[in-house]
Amino acid sequence: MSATDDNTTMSPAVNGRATIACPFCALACDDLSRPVHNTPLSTEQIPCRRAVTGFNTALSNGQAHPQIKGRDCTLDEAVEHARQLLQNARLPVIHGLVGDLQDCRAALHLAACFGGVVDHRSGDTIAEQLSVLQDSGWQITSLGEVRNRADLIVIVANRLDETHPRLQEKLFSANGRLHAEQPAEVVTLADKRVSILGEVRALFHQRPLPDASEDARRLHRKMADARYPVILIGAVDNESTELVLRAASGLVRDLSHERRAALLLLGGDIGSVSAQMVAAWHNGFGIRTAFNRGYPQQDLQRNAAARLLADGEADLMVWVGSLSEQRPPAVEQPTIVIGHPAMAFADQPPEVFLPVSVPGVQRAGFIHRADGLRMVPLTSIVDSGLPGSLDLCRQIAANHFANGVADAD
Amino acid sequence: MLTRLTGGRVFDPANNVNGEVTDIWFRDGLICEPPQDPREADATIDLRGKIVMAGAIDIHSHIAGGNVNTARALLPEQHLAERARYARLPFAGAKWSTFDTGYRYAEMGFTFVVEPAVLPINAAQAHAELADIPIIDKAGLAIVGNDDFLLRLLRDRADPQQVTDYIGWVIHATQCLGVKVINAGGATAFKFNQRHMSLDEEVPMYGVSSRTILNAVQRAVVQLGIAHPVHVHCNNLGVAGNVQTALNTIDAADGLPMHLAHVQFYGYGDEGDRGFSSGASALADKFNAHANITMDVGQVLFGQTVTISGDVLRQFEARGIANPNKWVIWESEDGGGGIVPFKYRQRNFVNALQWAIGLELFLLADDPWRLFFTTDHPNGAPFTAYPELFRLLMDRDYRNRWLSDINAEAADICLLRHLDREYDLNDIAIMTRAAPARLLGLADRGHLAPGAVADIAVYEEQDDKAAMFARAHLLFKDGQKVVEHGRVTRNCFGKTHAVAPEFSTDIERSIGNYFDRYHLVDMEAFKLSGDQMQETLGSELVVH
Repeated sequence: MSATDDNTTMSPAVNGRATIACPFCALACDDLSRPVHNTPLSTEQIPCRRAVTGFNTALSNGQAHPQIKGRDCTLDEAVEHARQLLQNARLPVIHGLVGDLQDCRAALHLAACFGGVVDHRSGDTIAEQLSVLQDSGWQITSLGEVRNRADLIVIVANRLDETHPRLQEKLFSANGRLHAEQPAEVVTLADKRVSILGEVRALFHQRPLPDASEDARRLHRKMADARYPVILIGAVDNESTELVLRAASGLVRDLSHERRAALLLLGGDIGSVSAQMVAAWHNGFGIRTAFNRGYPQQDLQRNAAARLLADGEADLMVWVGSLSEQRPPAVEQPTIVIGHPAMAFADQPPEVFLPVSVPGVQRAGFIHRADGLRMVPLTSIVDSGLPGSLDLCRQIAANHFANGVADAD
Repeated sequence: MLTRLTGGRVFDPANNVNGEVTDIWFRDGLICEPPQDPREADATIDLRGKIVMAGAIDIHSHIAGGNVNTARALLPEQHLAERARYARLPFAGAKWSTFDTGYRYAEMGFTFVVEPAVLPINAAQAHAELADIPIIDKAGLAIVGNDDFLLRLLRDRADPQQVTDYIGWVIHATQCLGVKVINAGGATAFKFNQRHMSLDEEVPMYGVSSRTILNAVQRAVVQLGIAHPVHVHCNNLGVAGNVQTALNTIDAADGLPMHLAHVQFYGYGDEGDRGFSSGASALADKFNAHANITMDVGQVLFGQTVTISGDVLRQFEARGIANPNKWVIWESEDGGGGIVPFKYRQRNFVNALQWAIGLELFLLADDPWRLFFTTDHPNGAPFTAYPELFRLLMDRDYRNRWLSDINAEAADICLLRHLDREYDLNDIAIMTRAAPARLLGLADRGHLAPGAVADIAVYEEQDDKAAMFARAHLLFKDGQKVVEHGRVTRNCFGKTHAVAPEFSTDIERSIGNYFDRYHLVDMEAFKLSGDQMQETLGSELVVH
């Protein structure tokens, strides 16, 4: 599965697959045609702006050199420097996690090894979801179930076109559906969503609610008529994810006594579901778990990466971002970037830059679909010669866990 | 390197060795014939006063997959770590992580564990988690029976060969060792608001019953030549009077091989003042009379745990008794399930009777080759409670002390107080080594004859059998010493085992069309390859 020249040389279909998957948004669509040799992608070829940008950026940036303070160096030098920084750090924060399964594994090994904390760049949203899960649990469904069977989809999300560009096509305008004649009715809640959901819940309980909004009354009627209403929750601007989720979750619980109802949680950011899932099976809890005492301690507020960095509790930031060329946030602390080869740092280079292969383009991988139910395989299309993040982090942590194996002697 | 274990009492029932003192030799990860001259040994380990068995095998323990991982996240308070353990082993301080799972199993002398509920759409994550479990070897069973594709084949009275090919395809696609059916059709019925599913009830819209689904899958498994019989989670789990369901399911097996999982949860009668009684003797009698049936028990032990299951009907029903009061119910393309925390209390009538029923089943079943140790981890109890279970079965006095400490009414009406049988070390070796290897079709483990994998557990002989089995004196995995004095001393990663039965790939045309039409998943992307298992998910695949 390797190519030799510097251009976008295609490999033969891997595993008999004619199509490839896209890791550049949380839908992880796996029906894209393979990029054509040396030709920039267009939205005609691949019906998604985000995918086109993601693939083009990665395909045209296979070359990047490790750097220390902005100056090219050898991989060994960069690895050694990163190791020194990590070894000397009191509390390193492994942040970003804009990546796939292997990136998360890599980040978690660094955290366990050097006594750090891991957090995703959208950690606030994940943490708000987690706090609801940890308090009460929830009743959820999958993308496929909504596509096939929901007859009413209530959207509580902003910027869906931006965060999940093909959601419309995949979920709402589905033609062939199971046991359903027509596409689901879609209702979007624009604002005051927490209170509307609360009012609908009160109406279902036949509580006296003389001044219920017309929006709430309308939604109550629709939900009362629906066989399988689903509340889809994505990125919510101007409202707290936690409050929205609590209100929606309560409503679903009430409805489910008599009919099928569910939440569809869309995750949102690239890699956020993988970050939480992979961290959970490594440390028992998930993100925002600290290893500085040798055992894991989760604290959804205290261990927020941004807070640890802003308050000076953390003294080193490691940014893992193989799927986005977006620069890490500027912080006071020295920074190690394990990142997308197209990352540019303007005049503020990090202490160490370790470019890594982009999963789904330059190496194989797996990334969680937004609903967390499925890990989608990512294909290697070109060989960039760059190391994968997991191998790299194993090198950095070589004295601790060689190949994931401790030297117990 | 040629190693000689000498002086230990060996229990190797597959080779009719029952406690005799004999040497075991191994080299390059395999057990071998002794050399002509014992001085050829590179290492000799003196095991006088020790018990030697093959590494233990657990056929049913929920150690990976979406349900387990969600349960971790749901219940942070249940696995708080207080102190770092095992310095320098990765994630050693992380309780209830995949890493902790491997270390704890190894400590108890286990070397192979089967995750019995791999939902096909979630198979990649299940395997990624399994890959991150150190030391032990792993395998999964793929869940079928609530997948619309299969139900359609049955509804349309498709050629049975198509069902067989489809089941074969699912096993390939998910890299599993066999298949499991969970409350056949139940998760689908739940999608139509049905909250109950019995053996002969029909799934709405499909016109097929649980019995039809079970039979079809059972026949497919037999025809594909898969060693492990269809692994069945029956209907009506946990319901008073459900022993009849288990008896009917045994009849429905119609003489073909079938494995019934966690039968304690089906050993319930509905007699007595409380409408809840032990059905253990009826179930055990039926079991004893049907050689085609194998069962594992799913023993309940007292304390806090969490129930996790692909039986969404059951878990939805149980959400009201969640303790602590939080739960997750989920549904998906090919199944559903739930996570409901629960605390079994010894003073509670029902819980105490559940505890007794499990033990009764163990003690009333005649053939240890067909009955298996499980707690349905974590449903009946965490797997770490196995040593306690061994002691209960091996020590009648200990059992009787417990009987006087549980709910008195339950103790009164259960049969347990009249059962004097005590398991011996040979029984334990059969039920945790020789028999599971045979049931899973793993010819090279579960015994200690030359050619077998050198997975060897050594225990310190003690009167307190719980203490004895809690910490292996030594454990060799593939001939490497990984546990000493009950502590993991060396980290390594085992392999993932699967079968690859032959089937006609013509079925892929229908499956591909179906996926294109109804799934958000490309059929080719659904299939896990050996390369993906090794290179990306991170586990070497062994195909049997």
